[in-house]
Amino acid sequence: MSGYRLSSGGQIDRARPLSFAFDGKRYQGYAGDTLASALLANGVDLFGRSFKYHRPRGLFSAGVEEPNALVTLRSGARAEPNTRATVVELYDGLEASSQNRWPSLAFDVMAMNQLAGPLFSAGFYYKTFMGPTRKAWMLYEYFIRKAAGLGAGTLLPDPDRYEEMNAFCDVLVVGAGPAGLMAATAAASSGARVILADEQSALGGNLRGSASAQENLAGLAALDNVTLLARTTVYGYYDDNTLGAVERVADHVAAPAEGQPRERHWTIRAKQVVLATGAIERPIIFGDNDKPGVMLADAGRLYVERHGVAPGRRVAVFANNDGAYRSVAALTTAGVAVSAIVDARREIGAEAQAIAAASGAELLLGQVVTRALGGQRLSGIEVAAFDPVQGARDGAQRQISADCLLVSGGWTPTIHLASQAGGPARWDDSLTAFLPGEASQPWRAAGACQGTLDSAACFAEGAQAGAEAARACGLSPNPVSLPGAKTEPLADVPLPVWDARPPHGKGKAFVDLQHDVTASDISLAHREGFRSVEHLKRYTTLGMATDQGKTSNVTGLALMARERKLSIPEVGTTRFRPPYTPVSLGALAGQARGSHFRPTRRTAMHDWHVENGAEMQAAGLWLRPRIYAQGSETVEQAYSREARQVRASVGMVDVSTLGKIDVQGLDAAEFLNRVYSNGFLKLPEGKARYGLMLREDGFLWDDGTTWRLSETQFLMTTTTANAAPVLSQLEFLLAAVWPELKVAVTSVTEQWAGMAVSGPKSREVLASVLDDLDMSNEALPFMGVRKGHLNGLPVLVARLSFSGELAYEVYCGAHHGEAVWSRILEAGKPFGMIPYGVEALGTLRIEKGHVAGPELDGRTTAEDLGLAGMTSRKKHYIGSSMLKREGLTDPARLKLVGFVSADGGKIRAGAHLVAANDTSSPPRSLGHITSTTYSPALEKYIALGLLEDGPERVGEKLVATYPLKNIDVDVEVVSSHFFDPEGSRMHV
Amino acid sequence: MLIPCPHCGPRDVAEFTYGGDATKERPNPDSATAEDWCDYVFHRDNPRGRHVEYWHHGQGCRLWLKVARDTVTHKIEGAEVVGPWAAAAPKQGRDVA
Amino acid sequence: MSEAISPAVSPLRGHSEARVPAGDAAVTLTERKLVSLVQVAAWPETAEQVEGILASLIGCAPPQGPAGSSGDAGGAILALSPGRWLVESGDPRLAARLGEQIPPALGAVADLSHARIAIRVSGPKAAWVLAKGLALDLHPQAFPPMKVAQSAVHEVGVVVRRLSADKLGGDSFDLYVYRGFALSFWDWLTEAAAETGYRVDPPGSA
Ligand SMILES: [Zn+2]
Repeated sequence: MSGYRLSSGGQIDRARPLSFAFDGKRYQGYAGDTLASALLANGVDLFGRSFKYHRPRGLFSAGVEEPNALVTLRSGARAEPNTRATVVELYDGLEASSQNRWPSLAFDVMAMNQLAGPLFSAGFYYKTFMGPTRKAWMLYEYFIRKAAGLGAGTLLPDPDRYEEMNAFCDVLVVGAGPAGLMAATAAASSGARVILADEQSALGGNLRGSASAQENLAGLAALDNVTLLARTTVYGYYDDNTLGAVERVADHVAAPAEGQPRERHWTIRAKQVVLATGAIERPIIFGDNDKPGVMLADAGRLYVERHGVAPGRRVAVFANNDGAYRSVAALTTAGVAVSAIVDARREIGAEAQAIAAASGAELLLGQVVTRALGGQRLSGIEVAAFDPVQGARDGAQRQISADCLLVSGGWTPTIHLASQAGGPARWDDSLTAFLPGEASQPWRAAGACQGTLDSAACFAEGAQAGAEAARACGLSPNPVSLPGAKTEPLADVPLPVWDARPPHGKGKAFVDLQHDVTASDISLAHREGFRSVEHLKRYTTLGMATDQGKTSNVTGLALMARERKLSIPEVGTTRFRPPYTPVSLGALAGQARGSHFRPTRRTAMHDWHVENGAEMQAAGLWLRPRIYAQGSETVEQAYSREARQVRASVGMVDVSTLGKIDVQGLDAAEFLNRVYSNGFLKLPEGKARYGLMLREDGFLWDDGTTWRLSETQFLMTTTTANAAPVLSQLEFLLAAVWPELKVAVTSVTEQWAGMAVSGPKSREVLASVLDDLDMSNEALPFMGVRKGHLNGLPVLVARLSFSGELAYEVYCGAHHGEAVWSRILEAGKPFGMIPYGVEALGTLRIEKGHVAGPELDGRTTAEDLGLAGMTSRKKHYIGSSMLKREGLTDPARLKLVGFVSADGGKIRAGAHLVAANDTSSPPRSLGHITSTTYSPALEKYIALGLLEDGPERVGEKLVATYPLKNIDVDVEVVSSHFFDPEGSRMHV
Repeated sequence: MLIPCPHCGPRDVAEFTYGGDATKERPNPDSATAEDWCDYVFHRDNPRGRHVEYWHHGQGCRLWLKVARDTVTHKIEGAEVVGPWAAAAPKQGRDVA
Repeated sequence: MSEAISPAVSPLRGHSEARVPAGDAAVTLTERKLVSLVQVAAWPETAEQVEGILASLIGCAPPQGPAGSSGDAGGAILALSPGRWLVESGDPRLAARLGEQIPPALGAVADLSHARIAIRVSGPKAAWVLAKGLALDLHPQAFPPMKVAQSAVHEVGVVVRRLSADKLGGDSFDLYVYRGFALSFWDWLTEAAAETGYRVDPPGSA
C-alpha cells in the first residue's frame, strides 16, 4: 500500500464518486480518474504479471506507453483483454481483471519461470525448437503459450456497433497539446477546414484543464471550420496523406447508448498534416527495475496534478535531466514526501536546485540507482557513485528506503507517424533522441515530437506550423496571439545514462518490460552475432509487444551501440509501422460484419422464392433459389422431382442474375463480331445467338446468348459470375483498342427480371398469358426474340433452351418481375407447372451436355469442350491469334465427355479418372470430373468431365477416384449429350 | 492511395480496378507474329519507379484511365482518360505518355 | 386479358414505409417514386447536340461542369461521365421519346427505370450519415448543390446528387442505387442513421 488519494487537487470531480471492481474486489474512485489512478489511490500497486517470467508488475506510466498495467476490461461478450489501465477512463460499475497470472495475481505459480531464467533468454524459441528438437515444439507449445502471454479474448459475438467515417480537411493536426492547439488555431484562422485529434479523454495535452487551454478550445469549438476529436488516436499514416484514426465514442461508459457506436474509425484525407504528437519519457535501467513502485517521473507528476493521487508515501527520484524536477515540485506542492533525489549529473540547473532544496529531499549528485529493493513491491533503492565514462562503480552501495521511485532518463519524441510517412529518423545528440526525418508527404512537425520541450517554444512552433500548413493549402492565416508562457527554466537536456548498473550489479535489468527483454538478452544477442537492429529486434523480440517498445526502443539501441562500440545513429533505428497503438478489430471492420460483411443482391422474385419454400444459395453476391423442397425431401429428391416435371410438363426458373449488357450503336454488330469467336454480323433482327468469348490468350472465358433487338441494338447476356468483368472488358476494348467504333455498352442486369419457362407445355402456358404474341413455331421459331406484353406489361420473349426442352426466356421490367412470375405460374397450374431451382437447372443442362462454369474454368479451349465449330476461321476476334498456339491445339489435351455411373455410385465433382487396372500409387490421372448430378431422365448418376483422348474412349470403363474421401466409382465413358442428342424436343 | 480521375476528381483506389501495363499496344492481327502476341499477352516488365498503367474507374464514371505511377512511392504523376473521350476531361498532373 | 394485377413492386417493400422515431431524428429517409430513369450516351462529336436535346426535352438548362446536374424531380439531367447522362422524369414515355429524338447516329438510349431505386436523405445530419459509407468530400464547398458523383458504399455502387438547398431547405441528397442491392443498402443506411436518429417518410412523398 503506497499510493493514496490526496485531500485536494487534481482534475477530478470529488462530488461524483464512482464504484468499480478489480479482480472482484470493490473500490471507489472519482469522475476524472483513470482505472490506474483510481487503483493507485486505493493503494493497489500490483497490476499484472509479466509476459515470460510472471514477475509482479505495477504502474509504470500514466499514458498509452504503459507496458505493465494491462488488464481485461468488462466481462462476457464485452470483455476486452490487454487494455492499458492508464488510459481506461473510470465509469461507475467498471469491472476489470488482471491477466497472465495463475491462480492469482499475488501468488503466481508461473513466477518460477524466472528461476529457469536462461531457458527464456533471447532466441529461446529458435534455439530450443530447431533441428532435432523441432518435434518437441508440438508437445510443449501448449504449455509455453499458457506460460507466456497476454489476456484472453472472448469468443462471444461483440454486442456493440462500430462505424466508419470518411473525413476530408485542409489541415489535420495530430495532438492537442501546446503545439497542436496553436497549430489548429493558426490554421483555422485562415478559414481552413481543420481537424484536431487527440488520443486523450480531453484536449489540451500538458495544458489540460488550464484556463488558457479551455479558452483556446472554446474558441476553436465555436468555429464551423474546425472539428475537435478527443479520445481519437491517429494510428496510421498512409499514402496520399490518408490517415487512419479510431475515435472511442463509447469506450468510457459501461455500454454505448442506443444507436451509438462503441468506436468509430476515421479515414482522414488531409491536404496538410501537422504532427504535434508530443514525447514519451524514457527510463534508465538498473537491477530489478521492474519492481512495482518504479514509475516514470512525469507519470508521478500527472497522478498528482491530474488525478490528485500520491504515487507513494516516501518517494525517491532518479534523473539525468532537469525536467524531472517538475515532478519533484509537483510532489512537494501536494505535500508528498520526497526522500531522495538521485541525479547522475554532477551539476544541475539553478531552478532544479531550488526545487530540490524546497522539497527537503536529500540530493545525491553524480550518483545513480543501481538496484531496486523489495519483494513484491519496492521497499528501497541501492545507490552508487557514477562516472559518465566508467559508469556506476561496484561496491560501497548505499541503501535508501522508498516505496516509490520516479525515474526520468529524458524524452523520446513520438515520431511514429512521421516515421510512417517520412525518411529515416534523424539523431539529435543533445536530446539523445531520434527526431522526425524528412517528410515524404505534406506534413510538418511541431513541439515535443521534434524535440522542442519548452512550452513557449512549442506554442510558437505550433502556430508557425499551422500557419504554414494553411498557406500550403492556398489560404491566408491571421497572426495568432501566443499564450503568455515564460521560457521553461528546467531544460530537459539529459546526460546520456542508459544502464545504471555497476559491472557486477545484481538483479534483472529490463529494457522491454512488456516482453521481458533484459539488458543481458541484448548482450547475448550481440555475442551470438546479431548485428543489425532489425535482427536484434526479431531475435530478442525487443519492442515487439503491444506497446511497440514506446519506453524501450531507444534504450535497446543504446545498449546495442555499447556492445558494438558504435554511436546510436550508426546502429540505426527501425521504421515504425501502423498502428501507433493497438486498434480493435471491430473498429477496422466497422459496419462490414454479419449481413453487411458483403452486400446481398436480390432478384425481383426473391420474396416470392422465400415465401414459397425455396432454399436460397449464394451465387457471388446474388441469392438464388437452390431447390423448392416439399415436405421432407432431400436436395436430390427435390431437384430430381423438379427436373422430371420440367421434362414431363413445364417449370420455371429465375434467371435474373445472368449478366445483361445493352450494346448499342452504329457499329454494335461489328463490335460483337470482334468480341465473340463466332459470327454476329449476319444475326438477323429478332434473333438470338449463342456466343463464345475467349481471352486474348485463346482460352475460353464466357458464354451466353445475345439478342438482336434492332439493327443497332443488342442485348448481350453473360454468365452470372462474369457479368462485371465482361462489361469492364467491353469498355476497355472500346476505349483502348477500337476507339473508332461507335458503340455504347451499359449494364442492364438490374433493369430486367428474367425467367426461363421450360418444358413441353411452355408454349401453351405462355400463349395463354401473353397479350399479343403469336407463339406458334412459325411465328416464334427456335432462337427467335419478340417484344410483347403480358397483362399490359412490356416483355421480351426469346425462344432459348438450356434444358433441351421447348423453352422460352421471358424478360420484363424488374419492378414487374414478381407480378409476371406469379401470373405465368398461375397460368401453368392446369399443367402442374412448378418453379425450379438452380440444382434442377444444373441437372437439366448436364443431361444435355451443356457447358457451364465448372467446364469454363479458364484452362479449357473451345475445342476441348467440343465447341471448335464456334471458333470462326474467317475473321479476327479476341483470342483468335493465340488460339493457334501448339499447346492449345495439342491433340493430347483433355476433352469433354460424359460419364455414367456403372455401379450406381454417386460420382463426385473433382474426382480423378484413372484406368481400372492401374495399380500404381497414386494411379495416373487421365482427367477429372467437372459437373455431376443424378439424372432423373436416365435414372443414373451422370457426370461431365475432361479426359485424355476423351471422345475416343467412349465405351471404356474407368474409375472416378476421390482419394480425399476414399470414394471410387466405376464409370463408363459416354457422349456428353446424354439426353435427346438430336435436340428434337426443343425444336417442336 | 488516391487516383486523380480526370472526370471524378481524386478517388480512393478501392473504386478502381487495375488493368495492367498500359505501354503494351495490341498487335495488328493482320500482320502480327506469334512473338508479337506473346509479348503483348505475357511479357511484362516490373519496373522500379515510373510505370504507366491502366486503371478502370468501375465504381465511378466507368472510364478507363492511363495512370503514371511510381511503384516505389505510389506517387501518381499523372492520369488521363483513354479512348474517344480523352479530350473531354482534363489530364491530371504531368503527361502520362 | 386476365384480371388486373398490381404490377410494380419496390425492392424496399415492407422496409421503407413511414416510421416516426420516439426520440430525435436528425435525418429523414424517403424512398422516392421513380417513374422514368434513362441513360443517354452520345458520341464525342454529337455530345453537345444530344445535351441540347435533353435540355429542351426536360425543360431545364444543361448540367453545369463535368459532374453537375440540372432540373428537379419533375425532370432532371445528371452528368455521369463525358457524353453520358442519367435523365429522370415523371413522364412514363421518357425512354420512347428519347429514342425517337436520339437516333443511333446521335447516340444510344437505355431505359433504366427498373434498374435503380431512388432514396432521398435529408436533414441536418444527412452528410454526416452518408460520410459513414461514402469516401467523398461532401462539404458544400467541395460538393455543392446539383453536384453529382458516382461512388460506392460497401461495394454497392451509388449515384449521389446534392439537391439545391433553396428549394428543399436543409441538406438533401438523392441516391440512386441498383435495385438488387436496394435492401442491403437500406439496411446499411438505417444502421448508419441510428446514431443520430432517423425518420422515414412515406414512399413517394419526396
Ligand atoms: Zn471517374
